[in-house]
Amino acid sequence: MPYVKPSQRIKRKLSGDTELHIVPVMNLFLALIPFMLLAAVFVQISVLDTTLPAVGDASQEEVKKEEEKPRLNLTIAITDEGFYVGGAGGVIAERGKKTTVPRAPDGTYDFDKLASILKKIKAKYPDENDVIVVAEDSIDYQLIVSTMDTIDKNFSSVKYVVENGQKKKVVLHPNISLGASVQ
Amino acid sequence: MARRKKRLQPVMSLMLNSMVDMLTILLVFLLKSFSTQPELNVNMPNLTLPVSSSDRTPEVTASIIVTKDKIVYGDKVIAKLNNWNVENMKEEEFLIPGLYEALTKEAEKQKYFARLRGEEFEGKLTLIADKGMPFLLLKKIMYTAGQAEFALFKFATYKEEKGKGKES
Repeated sequence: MPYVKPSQRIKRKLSGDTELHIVPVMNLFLALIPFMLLAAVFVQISVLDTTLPAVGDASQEEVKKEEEKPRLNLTIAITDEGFYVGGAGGVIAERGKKTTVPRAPDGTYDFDKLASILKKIKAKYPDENDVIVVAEDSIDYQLIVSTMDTIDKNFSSVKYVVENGQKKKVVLHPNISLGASVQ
Repeated sequence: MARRKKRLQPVMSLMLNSMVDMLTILLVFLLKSFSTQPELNVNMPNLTLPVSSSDRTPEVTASIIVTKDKIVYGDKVIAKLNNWNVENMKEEEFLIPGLYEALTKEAEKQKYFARLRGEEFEGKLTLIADKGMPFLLLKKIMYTAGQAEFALFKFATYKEEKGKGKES
């Protein structure tokens, strides 16, 4: 290449209005969007925990606890007529009768009333965390799940734990076991 | 009168900016809804999960699927259901043989892996069942699973939309 004086070199002026090349970006986005739409989760799935009622496999600690005070054994029975809320061992039997939440006249189950009863029991026995749910054979799954949900929401203990100087809310979910049957 | 015609500019550029904005917003929204939690495959015919407001996320466990007409474990149809009764089974019987076999095998496998890892076998089982399932069938399935040493159940449910934003 022959030598060209700097003053004679062609100088390209920077044009004032350079435009961004958006088209390739758009292409990328357009390719991404169908993919994301496919992978997007529109129905969220959650889970409810239950256990089988523990039979004879309680650990030593639990046995000790049991000895210290009578267990409430809170049992909620779902029947055609409504909910029966009961506790074995005469702990809430002093009320004189079983707490019953009958079905509303239009046939729906009264979850609000069940919730308020559960809250009352929780206020009286804050340490109690075990609930047994039993149902009649014909009761459908949605009703069982809704009942468990009500118990979960209204029978959880909320504790505040201080961690690193910050108050932290800890929700202790009740242990719901599904029992065998209703007479 | 000679009116000078304005010539069209030779280079037309599309106004893409607004469209890019839109696509960016869409992308962000989709990224947000993109979840990394383990997904349960609930896209089956005759299967509508019950609704609950629980906010606990599913875990990776063995799962039983109960639709309106069959019980499925893994990829295998374990039993056919006829009006919620297990076919070829008496109503008063509780142990579902096919399911028991499959779950016992699964339990053995999980125990083996747990031993290798030095953990304890937890016996967790996810139940993906149609909302119309009667308690009798649930009882039978739970009994069968209990016999196969699975004692912790996770009931898969659709998350209720109402409760959103309530939690603090």
